[in-house]
Amino acid sequence: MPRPPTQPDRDTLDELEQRAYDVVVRRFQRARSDRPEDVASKTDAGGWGPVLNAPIPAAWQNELAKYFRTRGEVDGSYSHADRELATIVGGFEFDAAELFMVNISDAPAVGVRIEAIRAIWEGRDDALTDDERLLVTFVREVSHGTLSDEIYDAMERRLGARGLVELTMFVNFEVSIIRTAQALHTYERRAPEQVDHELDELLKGLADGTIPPGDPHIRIQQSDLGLYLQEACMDVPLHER
Amino acid sequence: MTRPVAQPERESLMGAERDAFDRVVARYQRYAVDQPTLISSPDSAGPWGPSLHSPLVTAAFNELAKYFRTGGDRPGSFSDAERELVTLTLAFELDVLDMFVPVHVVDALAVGVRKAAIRAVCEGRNNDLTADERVVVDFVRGVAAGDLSDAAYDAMEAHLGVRGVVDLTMFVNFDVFQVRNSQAFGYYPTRPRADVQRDLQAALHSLDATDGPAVRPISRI
Repeated sequence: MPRPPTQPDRDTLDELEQRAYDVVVRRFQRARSDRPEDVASKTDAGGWGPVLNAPIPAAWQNELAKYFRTRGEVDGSYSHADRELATIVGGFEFDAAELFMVNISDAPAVGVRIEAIRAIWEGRDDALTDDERLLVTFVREVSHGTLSDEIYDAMERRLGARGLVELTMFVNFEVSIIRTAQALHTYERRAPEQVDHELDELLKGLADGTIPPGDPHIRIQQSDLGLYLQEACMDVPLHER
Repeated sequence: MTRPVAQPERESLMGAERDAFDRVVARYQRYAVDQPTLISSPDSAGPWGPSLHSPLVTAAFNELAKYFRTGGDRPGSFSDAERELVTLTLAFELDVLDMFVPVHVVDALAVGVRKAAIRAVCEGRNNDLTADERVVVDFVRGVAAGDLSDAAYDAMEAHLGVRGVVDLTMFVNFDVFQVRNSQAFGYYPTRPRADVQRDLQAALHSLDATDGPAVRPISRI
């Protein structure tokens, strides 16, 4: 029984599950439209493929992922830069940097300093700005269940109650995605020295311009969460666009 | 700026967000209908209250919670007893027994978890578990820690099949998600370890004194 579980055949699913399946596949294909080498086929859902063995929760989580990515488009929540930095910190914190190479590539385009990414990776928090250090500490403490009053208060002053709540849930959501990926082996885990080499090359390339930053807007898609919830009221929990 | 984060006022929300707020509150009131001490007011959403500052997200996670709680009704997924065993195992592993003991010790018994197994997972002892129970407990620990072994994965896949193992993996991580949110929002006050242990022992002692109400807690499903 090898891991990862294979992405199921769409035809083996019932009608509702097929709708869920299609939503997840479609989002992945759109999110990788600038990276065709990451897409194996027209039905490939990437890292979501194994999770599609449980299509309904996979689709809900996929929709939540979309929603969290849109928070930087509205007032009163965290910024795109906050989100990308939080994702990268979570990746380092939970030993899953390989999962987030796309985020590292996208991050400079939304204002994350490449030097900040390198500093976090190398454990040099003293090279971070005060604002970056607040975010990094917040992510670490929330994800380990040790959020201090000092950091909570500082983040609430910065983001307000709603922003703080959304950032907290986003951080913990990302951790749940990481742990699911690790349990199901949905990504290729590489030797630490290989990951370090890839990271170093990517950060050097982004810094000197030989690697252009990604286009994060491709991966920020309209959220249908409100429609999902309306349809869930009618016991049809998935919206088909 | 103090914790716990207060549940927002319903009137501060509009449209779809107010609808989402109402759904979360209604579900929680049903959930805790047999536990009146957990309901502080008619519009309380309990531990979901702080996260209602983001109502759509909270309502979506509530839908996921409903999905996972109905695993026992779906062929090829985990049973109610396995779900309760997962939650109690995480309560011990994440050191949050006080979050879960009041509801889940009783519910676990009601859906068929053995008293000895409830006591064992709440006290972190493997020796008193059956082989089947140990498969669940080992799987939960591995998933939560990010170091699930091939043996633990294979044993669970052999038991539940592929769909069931994916369902269960997502449920374990969903429970961790809820725990970490509650800790960050300060919903459950930090209590002296001795008090937590005293309450745990009282709950476990009360189990010993009952033949167990073998009644599935429908309100929470």
